[in-house]
Amino acid sequence: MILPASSSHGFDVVVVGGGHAGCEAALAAARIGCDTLLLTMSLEKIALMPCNPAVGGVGKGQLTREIDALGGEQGRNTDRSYIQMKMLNTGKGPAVQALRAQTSKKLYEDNMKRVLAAEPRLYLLEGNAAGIDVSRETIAGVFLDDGSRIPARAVVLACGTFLRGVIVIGEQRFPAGRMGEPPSSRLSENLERWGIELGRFQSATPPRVDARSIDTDKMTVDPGDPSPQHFSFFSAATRRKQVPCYLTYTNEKTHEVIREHLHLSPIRTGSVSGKGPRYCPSIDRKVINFPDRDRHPVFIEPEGIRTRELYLQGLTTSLPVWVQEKVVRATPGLESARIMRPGYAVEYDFALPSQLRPTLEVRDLSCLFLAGQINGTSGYEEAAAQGIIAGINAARHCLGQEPFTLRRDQAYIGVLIDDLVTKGVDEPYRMFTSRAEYRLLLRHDNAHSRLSPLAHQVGLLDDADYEKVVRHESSLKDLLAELGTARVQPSPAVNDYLESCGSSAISSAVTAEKLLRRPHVSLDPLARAAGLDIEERFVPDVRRRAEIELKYSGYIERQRADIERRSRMESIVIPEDFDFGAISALSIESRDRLSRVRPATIGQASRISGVTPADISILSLYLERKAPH
Amino acid sequence: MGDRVNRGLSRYDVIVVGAGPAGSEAAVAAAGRGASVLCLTINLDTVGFHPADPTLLRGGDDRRRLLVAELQAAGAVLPRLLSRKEIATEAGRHLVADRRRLGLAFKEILENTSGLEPRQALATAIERHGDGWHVECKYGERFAAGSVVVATGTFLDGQVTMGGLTADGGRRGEIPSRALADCLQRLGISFTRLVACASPRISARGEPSSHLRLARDGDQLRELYASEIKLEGDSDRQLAELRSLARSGEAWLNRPSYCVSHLALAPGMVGNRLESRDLPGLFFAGRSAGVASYPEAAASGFAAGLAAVGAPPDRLTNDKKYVGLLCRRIAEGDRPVSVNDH
Amino acid sequence: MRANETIAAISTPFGAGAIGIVRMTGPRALDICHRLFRPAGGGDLADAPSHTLHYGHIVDPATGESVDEVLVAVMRAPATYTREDIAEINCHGGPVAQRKILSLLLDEGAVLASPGEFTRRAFVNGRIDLVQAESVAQVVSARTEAGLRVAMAQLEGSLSREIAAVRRSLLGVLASLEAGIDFADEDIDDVDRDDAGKRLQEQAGRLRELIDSAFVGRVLSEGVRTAIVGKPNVGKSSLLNALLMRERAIVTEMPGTTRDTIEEIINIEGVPLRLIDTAGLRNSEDAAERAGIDRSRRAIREADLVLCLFDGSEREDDHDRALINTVPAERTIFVVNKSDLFRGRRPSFNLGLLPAEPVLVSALTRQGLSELKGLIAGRVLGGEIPAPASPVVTHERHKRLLEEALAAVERTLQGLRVGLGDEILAEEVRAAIVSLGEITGEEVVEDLLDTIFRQFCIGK
Repeated sequence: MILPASSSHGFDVVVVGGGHAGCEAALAAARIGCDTLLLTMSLEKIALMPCNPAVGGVGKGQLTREIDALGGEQGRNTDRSYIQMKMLNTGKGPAVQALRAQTSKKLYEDNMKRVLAAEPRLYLLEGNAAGIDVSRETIAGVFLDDGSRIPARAVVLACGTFLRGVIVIGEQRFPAGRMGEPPSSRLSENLERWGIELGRFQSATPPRVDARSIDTDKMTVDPGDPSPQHFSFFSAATRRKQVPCYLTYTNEKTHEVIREHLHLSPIRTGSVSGKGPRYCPSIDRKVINFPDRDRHPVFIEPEGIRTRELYLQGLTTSLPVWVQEKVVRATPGLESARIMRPGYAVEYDFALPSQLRPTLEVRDLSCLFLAGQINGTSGYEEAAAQGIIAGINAARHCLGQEPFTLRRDQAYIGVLIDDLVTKGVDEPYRMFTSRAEYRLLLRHDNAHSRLSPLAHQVGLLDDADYEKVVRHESSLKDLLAELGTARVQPSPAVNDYLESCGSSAISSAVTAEKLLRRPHVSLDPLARAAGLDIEERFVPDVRRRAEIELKYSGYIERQRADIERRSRMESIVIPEDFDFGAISALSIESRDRLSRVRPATIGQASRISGVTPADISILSLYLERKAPH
Repeated sequence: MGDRVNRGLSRYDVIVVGAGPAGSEAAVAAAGRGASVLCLTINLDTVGFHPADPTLLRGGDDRRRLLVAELQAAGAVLPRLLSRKEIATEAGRHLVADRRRLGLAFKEILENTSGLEPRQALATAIERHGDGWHVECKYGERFAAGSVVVATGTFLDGQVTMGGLTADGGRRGEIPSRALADCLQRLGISFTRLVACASPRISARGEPSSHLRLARDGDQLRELYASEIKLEGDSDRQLAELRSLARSGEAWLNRPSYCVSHLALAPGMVGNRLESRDLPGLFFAGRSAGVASYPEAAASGFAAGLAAVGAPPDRLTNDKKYVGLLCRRIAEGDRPVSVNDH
Repeated sequence: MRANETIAAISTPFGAGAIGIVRMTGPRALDICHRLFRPAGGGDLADAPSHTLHYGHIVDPATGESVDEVLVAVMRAPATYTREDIAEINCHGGPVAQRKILSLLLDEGAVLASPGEFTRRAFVNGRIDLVQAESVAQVVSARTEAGLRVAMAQLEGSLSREIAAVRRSLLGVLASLEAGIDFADEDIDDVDRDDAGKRLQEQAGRLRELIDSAFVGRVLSEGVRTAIVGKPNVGKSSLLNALLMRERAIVTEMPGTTRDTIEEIINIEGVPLRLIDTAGLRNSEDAAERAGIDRSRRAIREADLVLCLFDGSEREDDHDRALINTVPAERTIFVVNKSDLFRGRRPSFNLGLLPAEPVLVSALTRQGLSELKGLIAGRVLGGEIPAPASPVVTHERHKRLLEEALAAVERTLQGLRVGLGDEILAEEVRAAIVSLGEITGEEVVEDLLDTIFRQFCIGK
């Protein structure tokens, strides 16, 4: 048996997998106070980015920010490792603005390693999990392939794409978890034997080319933001040197080459099975589906500062390598490009997430938690978000504490997990802001006020860090109060400013708050014009927040009212052992769906796809009937 | 099959198979002489990777030190890297490397050497074609070259053993090179089997170094090692053994030790220039040629790279005493090959 | 919910003659029926197979006497409307007999059904879905053929189709907005605001049409609330009788409600007029006299249509003048009665006092009646009854949701004019789509993503 110390009974939490989900889970559990083990096939490959060398983006950046608010690591680590930082959607409202970083992959990995190694209650082990140890429907630990047993009170599986992974290029299929690394076959079988239902997905990645062999003169330059913001609220991030990305486009010539060789694409030959994501189609797929487009963008992203490898975002493909060469060389600016790594697709098993509770615990196997791509998601941010929640819950279970979940109106993380467990997945799940009905409330700028108090309660934020959030909130409150009472006089300076942003002049004194509710009026210039010394007394983040809150206030109120209304449905609890199958008034399909997902509340039931309002009425009626009067 | 006609074949002066210390040195050396070089590796993330003891040179390793000095004078890569203090330091009389930084540095050199193309591909076959060679890879990539340097480290038909478990692998968690091994054997190359072991890595927690003389291994994961500590068996047995050695129930093993058994060139297959006796233009270097240590692998690679571009023999053996010794032992000596006497 | 009770009520089939039906459903329906029924030709209801008719008598167990000659239909679960056992007792004896039979059922342990409870059971037991449930109510309460056609069309989904079309179009606009937001770092152009504005205007128009149709729909299914007002002796009851003469009055009893009045519906060229305050018409003049103008005022307030009646053969008096000042001219048709008395001559009543041109009728001779009916139909429907296939909103819930959707689309248009951000516009468009989805029960997010990926080539 492998124990943290000879005198110990075993680990509290074992996390299998050292990717983005695994790292967050392990750190969270250890920080909360559990003896935690991170088990991974290779300690060299921690927090690897096998695909895009980037963290964040629209929807995803909000996840990373929330992970930071919860005391997780992804945001901080990105701040230490970025080579380009950009705020997206600056031309649109703050609710959809998101931060995106290009990172140096190797630096990201090494920084994460240091963080893991510095965590006192976190142990690291290089080894291969072959199966879970179960005793009386409860997890008892993990088995390694060499037969060693690791007892544990809770296990988090975060195995990424390694479960029966198969690489596909052209017609070639080869078992692998990632290029060059063997898959994990025994674990899949083991999970199935314990009753976990698996599905199959595929993901693909584009080729990498040598930076010395491309012609950037033909491309548009895409630099980072000159004064970049950072993901983490807590660390004083230092400014880092930024490198530019480039943009080119395929053209008809490129498409000709692709069309000529389409018969070799796995899409046509069928050599890859498993559903792939619609939002990240291969270039072959794009050419098939959008034949009228005469060009497709190709973003050229460096994978680090010290490496020459360039990631070709937009040229995802698993065509045979020699065809990839032709396609790349038929793209403007890449005529002499040398492929350093070919693009490929990887097929892998995932566990149907409808088998999970909102804590990410497997419903029928107590104390087993699943996080990351194993649940059918794609993306480092989606994985990390699940990791931190799984880690928190695994730890809280060991400490005998209540489960920790986030609601859809509290966080994107809540939307993510609710979508997974309630709706299931039929393609690798990626976060979009349009999935969040409360997107105006769930913003980059207010993640910490939403989530840090919870993180502090849970034990993931120490007092010093939490103090920072408290001070920020307090300052914000003061500023909003001040803006609510400060009267802006109709001076020439003020009216000039108002007119300059397309707003109408004022003829009598008006509160600053009222003026700031107008669409194009900004706080700093208004304050200056009105002679209010706001800039000196409040930091930029606080001023930005105040402005956002005021601009959105009407909508925020509406959304809160909506949440109030729905919370009634959320509070109608469905008993654990409720027999959906017995309600003959429901169609067989609805009964089936409800039985699979086993929603905990009427609210959750209403979000299951295919369950209609009529079904909900019937369900409510039956629940009412059972309730004693 | 008809598609092959359209593919076109990229041609190089030299193709190096493997990007460990031997392969990397060979590639850089050849490119440095103006050759066009393609360097193939199964995984671009493990260029120059060393899984064993980070003590590259010990106190008593006088010959190896002189070997490295010769390399330095000749302009090879490894000595340059070892002179950078973030990569290697003298600890007592030993030279200890940060293995991660060393590997990344090798990769950086490969990617910035003019005329040298590093590429991720799994070579599966080498066949004679006219005066030169064709190299074929797993996903259909095909290349042509005048000379080929085989420097596949522990990957030729590699099998990883830990305790009672044996699995295919060039190293733990890395797929081996089987097809190429079969191909070379069919070409008439004879091999013997060698075993290389990866050192266990011990966690710095609980300060086990108070009892054992442990040194730091790199600065990413707070890992320690000791050259004298050899652990065997399954993970839990190794852990128990460590705790017994450290006399502490709290000692922790990050990475259990494991061994790789792999094919290595038998004596008599190559000449002093590391070129195959029967197959001109085919060279061998590094562990796959039977070499014992990292610096020696680098040296053999350097020599093979020069030889592959036809550098005159005296440049190799006359003023390079230990390089020459190494090459002669690769050609005829006992396995594993070293400049040290056993 | 009283799932275990057996419920009973008097139902009236539309288009039937003097036959009324007393209906019962629930676990004891057949048993209760069996106890009260004496089959004419022997045999036993207890053994009767499903969907069979039996002729016999309902007998009062207290007296042993026949209450009515009946035909009993036996329907056994689950192949019935409510999926429970149903007994339908078709009576010949008119409303009194029906009421007696109903009370006998109640004595045997059935309970009085609340309005719509049969349909509710059909819904809960899975026989019909939400929209159908709502539509069935319409069908049953549809008074006229036109109304029936509308209700049937709704059952068949023409409303759903129209809503789906509006929803699809809005999804297209939303997809453009969302694509620009969620794929900001790809090669997607920002939404063309002019184009979006045009598309939204179009959908706003369609929504307005649907909402407008709600009035028509209600009219067709519930009837135009009509008040006939006028001072005593102008001939209100005669006019009523004249209007009723050719058409049949359809009477419904509504058991269990608080109102005991009998509602009268008259069908005027396909337009059902639901007369309010008919008691005020039916009762003798002294009742009307007692109540006076106040009673009229109440009726006028509730009415969609006012028929304001005057006696053309006499000069106007204060009561007449008070009425002229009270009635809302835009909702009123002025009718000058007793044209038979002033035929050929000018009426003694000063027509100039009326704010609009009146119709001259004689309730006695029926002169001018067809003109009056035509005017009523025209006034109510703007000249046409909508074609049966065109979608009409008949349900208050639907109307409310459509209004919410329209308000959201209008806010979006306003937002476009003012230059609000894409994410705000998207909120409003989404709100409109959600409101529409609540009518038909569809989800937003999956449909939105489908639309985005079909329209745009995404994919870094």
